Parts: sequence; C-alpha cells; structure tokens
Amino acid sequence: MSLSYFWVFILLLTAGAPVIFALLIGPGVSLILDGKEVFFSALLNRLYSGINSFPLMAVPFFILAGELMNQGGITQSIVRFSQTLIGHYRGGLAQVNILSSVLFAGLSGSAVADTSALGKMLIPAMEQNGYSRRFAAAVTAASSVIGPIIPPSGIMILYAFIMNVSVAGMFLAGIVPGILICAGLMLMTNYISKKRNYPVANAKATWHERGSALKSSFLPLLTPVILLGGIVLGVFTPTEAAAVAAGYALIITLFVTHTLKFNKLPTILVDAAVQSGTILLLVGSAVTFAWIITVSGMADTLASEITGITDNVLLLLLIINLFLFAIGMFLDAGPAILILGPVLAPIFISLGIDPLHFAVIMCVNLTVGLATPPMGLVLFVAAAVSGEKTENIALEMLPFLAVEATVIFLITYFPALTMTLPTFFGFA
Amino acid sequence: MTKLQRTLFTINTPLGKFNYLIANVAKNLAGGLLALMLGMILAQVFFRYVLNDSLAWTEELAKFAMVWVACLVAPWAYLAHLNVSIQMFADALPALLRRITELLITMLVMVICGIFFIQSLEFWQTGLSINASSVPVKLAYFYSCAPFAFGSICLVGLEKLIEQLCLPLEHCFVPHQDAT
Repeated sequence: MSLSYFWVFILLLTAGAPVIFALLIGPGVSLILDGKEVFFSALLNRLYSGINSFPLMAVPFFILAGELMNQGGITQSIVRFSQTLIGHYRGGLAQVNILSSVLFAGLSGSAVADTSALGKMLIPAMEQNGYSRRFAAAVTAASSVIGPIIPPSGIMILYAFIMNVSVAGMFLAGIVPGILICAGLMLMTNYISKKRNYPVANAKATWHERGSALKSSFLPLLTPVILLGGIVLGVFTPTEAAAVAAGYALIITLFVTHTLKFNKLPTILVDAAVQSGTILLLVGSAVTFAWIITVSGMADTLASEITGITDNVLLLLLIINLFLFAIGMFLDAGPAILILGPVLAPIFISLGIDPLHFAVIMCVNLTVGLATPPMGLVLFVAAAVSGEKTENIALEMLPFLAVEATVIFLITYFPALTMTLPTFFGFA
Repeated sequence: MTKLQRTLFTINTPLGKFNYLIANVAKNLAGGLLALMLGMILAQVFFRYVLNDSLAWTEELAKFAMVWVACLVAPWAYLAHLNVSIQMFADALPALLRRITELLITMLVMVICGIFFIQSLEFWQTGLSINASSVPVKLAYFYSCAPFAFGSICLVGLEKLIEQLCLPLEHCFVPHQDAT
C-alpha cells in the first residue's frame, strides 16, 4: 500500500480539516488511488471496533464524574481547604491555585476543566489581591497541566487503550511526575512572589479551621482514593472504577453537599455525552489510521529512519522530547497520543525503554504542550476566562514552562521516578 | 446575490432546520444513553459484590450504548465545530484561498462519509441475521448507528457546502441557530 494516505492526512490537517475526518480521508484516498476500494469495509470495521471497547468506556464516565464535580460546586470547597493549608505563605493565592489544581486533578483529570473551574474563581480573586492578571492566568494555566498527569487521567486511558498498557500502572506512574511539577511550580511561584512582593492570602489558619475546611471537601477528595484503591487492589476494573466515581460524584453532590439540583442533571449528561462522543469518534478514527500505518509498513520504515539517526537511546529520547513538545504546541494531547502512540512507542520499546516509562514520557510531554503557544488549548481557556491576551499569558508562563520542561527531562532520564510506584504494586 | 445563490439558500433553510432538529434530538438521546450506560455498569458492580451474582448482559449492552452515544453526537459535533482541528495555517490564508480550502474539505468529508454510509448499510445488513451474544436482540439494532452517523454528517456537510458557496468571503460558516 502506498504512503499517499500520510501526505493527504498531513495536508488536510494543516489545511484546517477536523482531525477525525483527516484520519479517515487520508486512508480513504489512498485506497482509491491504489484501486483497493474493497478494503473500505475493513476500515469501517476498524472504526466500529475501535469504539466498541469496554476499557474505553472509562473515558465517558470520567468525563461525567468531572462534570458532576465541577457543576456541583466542589471547586469552592477545594480552594477553601487549600487556602487554610498554604494561604499564609508569600504569594498565598498563587500557591493555593497550584495546590487546588493537584486536588482537582484527582477528580477531573482534565486540564481544560481545571483551568476553567479554578480560573473563574481564582483569577479575579488574585487580581483583587494585587497580582497582575497575566500572572494569575499564567499560574492557572501552568498548574492545570497537572490535571491529566495525576490520576485519573483521560489521556492516560486513551494511551492505555490504544497501546494495550495497564491503566492502573499508568495512573500510578503519573503520581510522582505530577507531584514534581506541583513542587517545581510552587518553588518558582515563591521566588516570583518574593521578587514582586505579592501578598499572603490570609493569616495562618488554625487547626480547627483546617479541620472544618477539610470536612466540607473530604468526601470529594476521597474520589481518587476510591478510584486508585479500587483499581490497584483489584476490586474494580478501570471502567467500573470510573462508573463508581461518576456514581459517587452524583450521590455526594445531590444528597450530601446538596450543591447540585436535579434539574441540572440533563444538561450535565448531555454535555458529558457530547464531549465523550467527540473523543470516542476520534479514537475510532485513530484506531483505523493506526491499522493503516501498520498494514502499509510505515511504522517499520519510520522505526528504521529514527534508529538510523543515532544508536544512542538517551539522545533519541531527547529528540523525541523535543519532537513531542513541538507537536504539543500544535495538536491537542488526545489526538496526538492516538496518532503518534502506535508509531513511536514500538520503536522505543524495541530499544529497551519500558512501555510504561515511555507512556508517561509521552503523556507528560504532550500535556505540557497544552499550555504552550501558539496552539495551547489551556492557554486559550485561560485567556477566555481572564480576559487577558494569550501572548501576554504565554510570556508570563515562560518560567513555569521551564519548570515543566525540567520535570520532563527528569522523568525521561531517571526512570525510577515514574517506575517505582507501578513496580511496587506489581504493574510493571 | 445571484439567482443560483438565492435558490441554494432557499434549499438550505429547511435543510438547516432539519439538521439542527436531528442533531439536537440525537445529542439529547446520547445524554440519556450515557445515564443508561452508567446505570448498567453500576448494576454490574452491585450485583457482583452485593448480590454475588454477575450480570452477563450489562457489559455488552453498555458497549453498544457507547457506540450509539458516539454516533448520535457525530452530527452535532460537526455542525457545532466541536471536532478538534488546527486552524492556525488556514487562518493565515487569503480569504478566497481559505474559502476554496473549506469547500474542498467539506466535499472530501461528504465523499468519505458517503462511502462509509453505503458500507455501513451493508454492515447493518450483516446484523439482521445475527443476535447479540448476551441478549436475544438482532445486532442490526446496534449497527444501525453507523448509517445514522454517516448519513447525518453528509446532510450537515451539504448544508455547510451550500453556505460556503453562497456566503460572501468575509463570512465563515455559521451553524444554524445556536448550535455553538
């Protein structure tokens, strides 16, 4: 089979065609050009079976759980809890923003949801407290990339599905990189806050105040514990755990915190279905495209081209870091993982890199790309929420991006950082 | 505006209303199906751990429901520009070239979805004689989501194509009513 599908795909992608159609039209044109129209039915079968998967069902349930938590006003209690913990430090609200992102990450697993939910609340509050709006937006955008790194994570489920890697292993492998990014961002924020004399958010909270704030956010914060605990202990499959998380979110927001009204449920369900449907269709198309890549022998050709550059694995990893970082600037993490995962992962696995290690490198790399110009989705959301220009936020984000790039290099060259937890729990 | 453009617009208004209606109803159904999926998987967990009796049909039906969710959302996602795309290079093109590019992309989308629509009808026919493995229901009921998705995308594509042919260059395609 000719490789024309690949060039048609690239052409359509750069011309602004929706990725899902570019993924289908490329192989379709190739089949017509090669006179192999009979294989259209095989493409359709791949598309259908690509979506018809039980592990993939975790995606809509996690999206629903995130929507329920978000619409159910859980954000406020999380921010309040973070504030009692670290609001008294220099640059308190910025630190609260970062810590809230970590806590929120355990509920939503989406950088966009994180930026939108926390940004709406914290950016105006930070501005009122003397922070520049661009700094407030930059902190929100930079910290929100923790969302898809700390479990649960939508993109990790996609990667696990398309590359047949353990979801639980990936979730565990994401914890340390997420904490490292959080620590790095907090240190950088502390440095900038001291330099610019940003204020503390509040007086040091008493243990009673902390306890009271924890009480109101305790049940939502249990979600990641139930999720990870359930999966790691083998009680649930990841899909069942995602369903339990959605059910749990429904019960606590409706009946415990009473922050969600029944009449809001249909809208939440439809929103979650629309988000899920678009992702599922993309997954189906990507599975079809990945099949064509394999059948056409392109994966082998690309593998020999890449390994032909150098036989030094560390150098190849550096090249792939830079490549993924560049891709992340232009393409959303989900589609990038679905398209590039099946091409790149086998090459590095054959070079001796652990599949889980490479999976995390790829996910973290592409997630950080969400906050980089010119096409960082998170950057656009932060700009929309704050009303600040994207380029101003991007400039203010440079120190934070340096931190995130450093973490990427650390997890790339020190596999123990990602592999220790999954190995300990027997997933690697 | 030429006579041809006026004629095309006359066709497009009812088509736009029809597409909006179908896409809107479909996305609401998808929301209902998502709730059903959640109920089935939670029931699966409940029966296994609480009643010690595994349900055999929940997984298969939930999977079919998920495929239906994806297909039901397809026309809305296309109509409301919800599918991910890279617009940076297209935005840099001169207006005329950009319009031509949009037209070509829409035509290609219609062609590929048209081919898949025909293929999916054959796919649906294969399901007429086979039952699902866990429930006595013909697979055709589940497979019929594919012709729906590709057929409805073709109709939305036609609406977009007419808009792109008729609207002045400075106007981008605006989804019917408040689709965005």
